[in-house]
This record gives sequence, C-alpha cells and structure tokens, in this order.
Amino acid sequence: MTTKNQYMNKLKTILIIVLITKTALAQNQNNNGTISGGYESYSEWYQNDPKTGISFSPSDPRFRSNNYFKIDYLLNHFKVGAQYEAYLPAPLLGYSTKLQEISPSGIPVGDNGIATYYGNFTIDQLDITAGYFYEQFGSGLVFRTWEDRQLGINNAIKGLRIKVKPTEDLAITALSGYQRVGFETSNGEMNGINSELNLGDLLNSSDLGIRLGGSYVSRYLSGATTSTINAYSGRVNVDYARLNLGAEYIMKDPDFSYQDLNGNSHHNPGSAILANLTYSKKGLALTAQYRRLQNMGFYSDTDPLVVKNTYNDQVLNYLPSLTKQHDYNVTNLYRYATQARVIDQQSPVFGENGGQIDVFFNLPRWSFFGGKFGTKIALNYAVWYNLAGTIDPTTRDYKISGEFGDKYFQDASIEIKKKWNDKWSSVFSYINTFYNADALGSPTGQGAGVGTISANIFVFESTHKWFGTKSSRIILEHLATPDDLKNWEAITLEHNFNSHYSMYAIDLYNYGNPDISQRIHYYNIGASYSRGATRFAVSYGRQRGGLFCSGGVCRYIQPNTGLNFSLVTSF
Amino acid sequence: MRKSAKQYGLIALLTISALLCRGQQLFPDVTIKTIDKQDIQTKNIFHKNEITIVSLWATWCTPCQNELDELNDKNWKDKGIRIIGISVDDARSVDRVKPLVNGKSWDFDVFLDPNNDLKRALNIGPIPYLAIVKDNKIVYQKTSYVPGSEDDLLKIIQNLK
Repeated sequence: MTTKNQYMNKLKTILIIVLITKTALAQNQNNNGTISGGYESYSEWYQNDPKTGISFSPSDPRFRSNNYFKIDYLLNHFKVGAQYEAYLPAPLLGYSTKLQEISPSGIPVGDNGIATYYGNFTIDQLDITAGYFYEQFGSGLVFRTWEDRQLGINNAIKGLRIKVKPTEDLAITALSGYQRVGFETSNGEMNGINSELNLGDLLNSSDLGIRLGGSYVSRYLSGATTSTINAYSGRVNVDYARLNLGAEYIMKDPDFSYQDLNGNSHHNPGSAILANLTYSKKGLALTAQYRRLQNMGFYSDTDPLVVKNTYNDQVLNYLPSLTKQHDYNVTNLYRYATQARVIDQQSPVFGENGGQIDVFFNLPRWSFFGGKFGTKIALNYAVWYNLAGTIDPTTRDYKISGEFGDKYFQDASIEIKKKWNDKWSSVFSYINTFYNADALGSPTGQGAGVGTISANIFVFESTHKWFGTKSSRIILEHLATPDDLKNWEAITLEHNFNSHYSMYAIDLYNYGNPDISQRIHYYNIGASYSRGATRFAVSYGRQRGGLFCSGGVCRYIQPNTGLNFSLVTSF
Repeated sequence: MRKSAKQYGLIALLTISALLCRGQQLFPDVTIKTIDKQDIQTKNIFHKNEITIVSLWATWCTPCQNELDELNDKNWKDKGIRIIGISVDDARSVDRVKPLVNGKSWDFDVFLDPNNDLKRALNIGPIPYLAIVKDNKIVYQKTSYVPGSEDDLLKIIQNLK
C-alpha cells in the first residue's frame, strides 16, 4: 500500500474517533443528526494439536483477530458512513489471503484500514449512493453484493448507484463501479440496471397479483479473452389466493468456464432457471423449488485462480445451495454445495439440476396429537443431480446429453417440535442423507476414493426452564453410516444462569473411525455474557476441518484448536 | 501495512468507545419487503404511539424461532403491544418464510429483509436480535435469546410507560 494511502487511512481514522466522541456527547441531540454504529471482534489463540496434525511454524502468528467497526451518521436526507476493518496481527485462519500481506521474511501480516465508506441522499422517490454499496437484483442469481463476516465475504461495489420510483408500481435501479477485493478494488468494471413492475393496481383484483422484473448486468475487463460479459435476467411472480408462483430465467454471455485436465481454458455461455411454488394457509403450508444451473459462476475477473478461489472472492452473483439449512453438529458433516461450473475430473461436473420441497404444519392445541400446546412439524426433501454429459477425450470440450446425470445429493428430514408444559419442550429430528463424494469431493477432507455416502441422523433436543430466565438444554446427536469416516455422535449441554450469563459444553466424537488414532473428540466449552445489544463470549476447543457453510455459501476450513474470544455490540 | 502499537491502541479505543456509546437510537428507515415481497419503508410498519417488539429472525435460526414461538403464545394485544418479525433470510431460504409462518400459525406481522439492508443499518451482529420500538425510536434492544427472557419484556415495557 502506498504512503499516500497510509496518510488517507490515518485521516479517516481520526475522523472516526471524532465521530465517536461526538456520538457520546450528542446521541440525543436530534438537530445535529444521529449517529449509530456497531463493533464486532473475533479473535483466536491457536495451538499446536498433534491429534489433528496442526503445527504452527515459529514465524506463523498464533494469535489472529478480525475486527469490524462501522459508524453511520444521518442528518435529514443525508447519510454517510464508514467501516474500519483490522486483521491484526493476521486474519483468522480460512479468511482470504487478500486481507493480509506477506512480509519480506515470509510472515503473513494482516492489513487494516477503512475498508468501505459511502454517502447517501434520499428524498421521496430518489435514492443516490456514492461509495461502497450492497445490492441484489431479483433472487441474486444474476447479481448480488453482500457482507457475511462469518464467511469473510464482502463483495461491495465501489461506485455510484441511483434508485428511482417514477410511479408507485415501478422501481428502477442503475449502478456502476468496481468490486471490493481485500482493501483494494477489482480490475473488472461492473454496470447494471434492474427494474421491478407491480401490476397489482392494473389488474383490479384482490386475489390476483403479478410482479415482473428484468435485469441487465455487464462486466468489462480490459485485456480479457472477451472483454465484456453481459448477463440478462427475466422474472415473473404471481400471487393468486393462497398460491404463489415465481420464476426466473438467466442468460450469460460465453465466459471463462473451466480449465481442463491439460490446463487449457474453455469459454461457454451460462444459463439458470429458478422456479418456486408455494401454497399456504394458517396451520398448513408447502413450498417447492426447482433450479437448473450451467456455467453460472460470475466474477469480476476471469483469471482461473480467481474463479476457483475458495474464499468466494470477487463473486458477483449468489448461488446458494437450495437444501435445508441444518444447525446441529453431525447434520453439518455432509452438506451440499452448489455446482455452478464445469469441473474436468474423473467424475466430471457439468452443472446442477434439482430442487426441494418443504411442508410445515401445526397440530392444533387440544387436538389428539396436538396436546395442550400444539405440535409443530416440518418436513423437507431435497435432491440434486448432475447434468448428463460427456467430455471429448481430445479437445476436452464438454457436451450435455441429458437433464439428469448422476445424483449428487439427497436429504430427507422430519423435525417435530413439542412443548410438553410451561417448563419442558423438546425437538426430535431425523435426517436421511446421500452424498456423492466422487463428484462433490470429500466433505471430511479424505481426498479421492470415498465414493458415495449414505447416512441416518437422529437428533433429540430438550429444554427445561427452571424459573425466570434460568434454563438448561441438552442435545443428543448420532450419525450412522457404513461409509467414509463411519459413525459420529455429539452431545451438547447448555445452562443459562439468567438472561445475561450462559455456558455450554459440546463434544463431537468420530467414535466409528476405522483408524483408532483418528477417533478424535472435537470438544468445545464456552461461556457468554450478554447485556442489551452487547455480547461477549469466550470458548476453548477443537474445530474439525471440512466444509463450513453459512447462508448457503460454503468454504473449506482447516482443522484448528485454540482459545476464542468474540465481542459484538451496537449503539 | 506495518502493524504497530498505534494500530492496536486504535482498536482498543474503538472498542471502548463502542461499549460506552449508549442512547436512544432511531429505528433506521430503509426499504424492506412485506411477506408477499412488496416494497415497504420501515417507517411505515409502525403505528403511532404503539409499543412494538421487533424481532430479527431467520428460518435457519432455531433460537430465533423459539423466541417467536414463545412471544406468539402470549397475549400482547390486550396490553396494547404489537409484535413484528423481520426475517433476514436471503434468497436461499426467503421462499420458506411465508410457509413457515403459516405452518406455525404465528399471529403477528412478518416482513422480509432479503439482502440485510435493515440488519446492516441497525449495525447488529448475529441474530436473534430484539428491539422495543416506540415512535420510531429504539428504547430497548438485546441480542441472543434465553428461554424465559420473553417474560422480562413485559416488565421492561411497564417500566417504559
């Protein structure tokens, strides 16, 4: 980073301190506008762990910390804000290498500075933002920028965005800029326009509602094989009585698609279809989703190293895995990650085709199965397939020959939530999972040759309220599989002393591992203190390596052991 | 960039400042969506002079749903208190919100914040997050959920009156 930028960062830092001081003094003085903000800090002190094979070299920073400080100032129609980020002494393991530099002696040194800033003016039907902003067109399949600190994603656009609503039923957004990459911006330039039209008033029907949407997004990259890549999205959403139908279709110009086994790059057009149907009334609802993706990876660069990066750097669209988001320990061992691009490997990947169905219903109070408090039941079935295709042995070009190739993944689950009385409540879950590790890769880091994995998972959770806010919770989990690393179990104990103090202990144990030396306990103990919008937590434990998924986006993390601290507050 | 004692001092100063800064905060006015995906400004979701409990939740957040289940089981309407749930589910799961709300027979208004514009404007970290709002001002806020804490809300609201 240049000396000029260092001075700029110092200047911005001073501005932040001034703003904070002003916050403390003028929080309630409405004439001076209002200031709000937030601070998040996640730190870990890593340890060597012979059990998991983790060994730090003496020069590797053992203590690592991610810190995010954001402040906004609002005055009438104007709003300004900035986010300071510090990855010091180095970013947490698993975060993008763009957040650090390598010193001449080869030691990673974390970066820090004002990462994003913006100014916004809003009046009536006009909204103008300059600086860094986040935006989503439609479902995000064609364009989305967002921030997920747990995953290390912040792909904000730095530039100009204008939103107008010429009529109550028509909204138009236009934007232009460069994407954030670490503390810099991308070489690729983004331009986009999105429109949403609500036909509700024109239809003059209380039962029927129709909304239309269309988007155009382009990426210009000087010197690329194709300098301009255009993508188009068309959407329709129909509400009729208790039914809702939504559909979206996306086309994308030929873009870098994959690097074959010989190291040659291939360029192909992309497409996506997304459809969902929902029926719902009080006490019963179901929803079905279908999606087909082909070459839909969309980045602000075409460098194969960027496109294949595991940190989700420079991603321009949102391709979440459409499966149920489980949140227990053993339920996250075999998770599906979206297959949006071609992979030339022994079991080639050509894209994906599949969907999921959810059913929610409530057995009412005082019914035969409902009991005094009712019973809530959720069912989910998700299945995903490869597209059928072949790869030419000479040119390594691919050809799609059918819609459904090998099955990637299947997940069938039932969750029953029951409140027995004012003190006791329980949750019972059963999940049957199929995972094709030949195509998707081993989620537990076992390399090639794992084959397919079938697993049955049982989870029982029970909470007891003692009195006031004093409560205890136990979670028992078991995963049974004859494949991969065989059986796992997990137990969680949690106790809330009151609404401020909590503590927990978790042990995830791969007790069925055929290699007895690898029957590892992934334990974690922790405590937290919460008051108002502030939460401080400390924990110590061993984290297994593998696929870590949050919000439908996944990345691989390496196993680690250590002491964690986190502090979150807003003001 | 060179790391130095100054940078760590700055982080410490920011941390302390953030922890010390307290006061009533305006509920941010941003565009979110109704459960039927129509745009709505957050300033238009509140009723004048009404105390409103706002919960930010998601279909994948079990503690959030436990809190809303408990809030739903209590009779707030008779006490002149309104409940609002704002889902921060993104495109992955936003289509599950309406079915889940109906499937659970929740009897309060639910809105959507699919690209987390409101969550970002509130400057909050992980959910669950709950705020008590009166006249567009946040008069109380808390993060995380502990069973039984819903009983404390009534006491807090009574102290506000």
